[in-house]
Amino acid sequence: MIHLKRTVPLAIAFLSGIILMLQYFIPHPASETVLQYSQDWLTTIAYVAMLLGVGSLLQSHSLKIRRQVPGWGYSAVALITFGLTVLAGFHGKEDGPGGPLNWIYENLLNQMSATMFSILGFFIASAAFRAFRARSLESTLLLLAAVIIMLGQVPVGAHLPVIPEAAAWILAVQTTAAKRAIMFGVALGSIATALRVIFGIERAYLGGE
Amino acid sequence: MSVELKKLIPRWAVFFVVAVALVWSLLIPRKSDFPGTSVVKGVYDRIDALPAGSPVLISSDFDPGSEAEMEPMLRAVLAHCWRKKLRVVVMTLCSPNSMPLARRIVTEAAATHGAVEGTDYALMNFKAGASAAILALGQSWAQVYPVDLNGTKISEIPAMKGITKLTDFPYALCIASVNTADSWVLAGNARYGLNVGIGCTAVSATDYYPYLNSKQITGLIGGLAGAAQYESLVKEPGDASAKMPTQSVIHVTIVLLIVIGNILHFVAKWRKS
Repeated sequence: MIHLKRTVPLAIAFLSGIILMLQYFIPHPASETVLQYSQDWLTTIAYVAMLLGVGSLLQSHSLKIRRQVPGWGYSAVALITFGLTVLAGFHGKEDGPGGPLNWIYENLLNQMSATMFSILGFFIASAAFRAFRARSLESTLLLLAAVIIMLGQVPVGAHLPVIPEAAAWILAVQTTAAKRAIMFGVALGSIATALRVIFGIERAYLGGE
Repeated sequence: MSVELKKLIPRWAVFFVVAVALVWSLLIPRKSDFPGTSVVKGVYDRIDALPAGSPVLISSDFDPGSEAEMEPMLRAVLAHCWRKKLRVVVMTLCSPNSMPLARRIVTEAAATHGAVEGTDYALMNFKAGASAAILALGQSWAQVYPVDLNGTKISEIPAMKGITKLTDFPYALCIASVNTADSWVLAGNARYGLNVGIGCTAVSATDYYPYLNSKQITGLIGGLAGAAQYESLVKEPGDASAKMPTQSVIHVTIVLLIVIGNILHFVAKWRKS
């Protein structure tokens, strides 16, 4: 049993990692075939992950309803609407115009998503009013950059002196430099983590070690 | 927010100010000329330089939450493509919610521009695993998309003529409110050398400037302002141009709120000391 839980997943991770790493550097039809197979696997796993997500959603909300935790009514609404949407999906053509699923999409999901996003604008205004304070040099610089970018991104900024040029400079130079540094850091971290997974040093994915 | 400031200007007052500014902005006369920056022109010029009949791939990776910001962008690019008599292939890697939205937008825009499904454009369904899907498309289009959204075989769609893999597209534009744009750069451009452009929300535009400077993308349409510029470039003012006064007013309102908040904060601090 221990082999199935530990050794087999570790062996799969090692072999997959090594094969795909080598594949990238081998320009040969056989290598392309390996890539093709691996992509099929990746796509399949992505869909299985979606199923796992659905399972997790059902489990989590069912538990809340059973235990009647505060706000369990929302979980009931989530499960009922989930069930209705699935039923609508099975009824008629997948998501063709005029179908029940499309009706749910256009008249419920679309409107609610847009409403949620619209409300966000008000909260951003409130949060900016509360949080943007020139308390230190760093926060003052952040505040100034935010104001310049906000004004530089809209037509009214074009009528103000220096703002458009300053906004373009912040985006093209400052932001790029910071973003690039973060990307390099993330890339190096990803490589290190990948190597740790491939060589079995990192085993958290096996169930927390 | 300090207790004094909370009492002085409660949250509802901030919301009220934003709501008043929003309503007032709707009364401002609309402008329709927004000069295109070199960043936006990077996408426009690439599409404009394509000969008639060339295929253009659009990855419509946004859902209803960001529709207000992304839809004008997609409409402006579609108008440009069809005016140039280009074939457009629209797909999505974002979520199953994205394609119904894209289909509605594309169908409405096609009716306006007289474009015909199958001949002038084709729609592909959602595919999970963004980078994996792009890598697989680089190997074989038919392997990933054997049929279009209507179930028609790819080989029977005139708009898909000559397309066997990703690199058969001379240009691909990812209009995304999620991070699939990264996948297009890292898998599409870096792996297969695909010419890629990005359209994104204003808030995520800063994420893609490094790709622009390293020439991994040809251009960037950032948010509503970028879409308004694109509309001006194609000389077809639409929703983005119409919404720019509102965005201007709200941005100025937020800046004023920040200034007022800071003044009140420093006054309170000075009084305390």
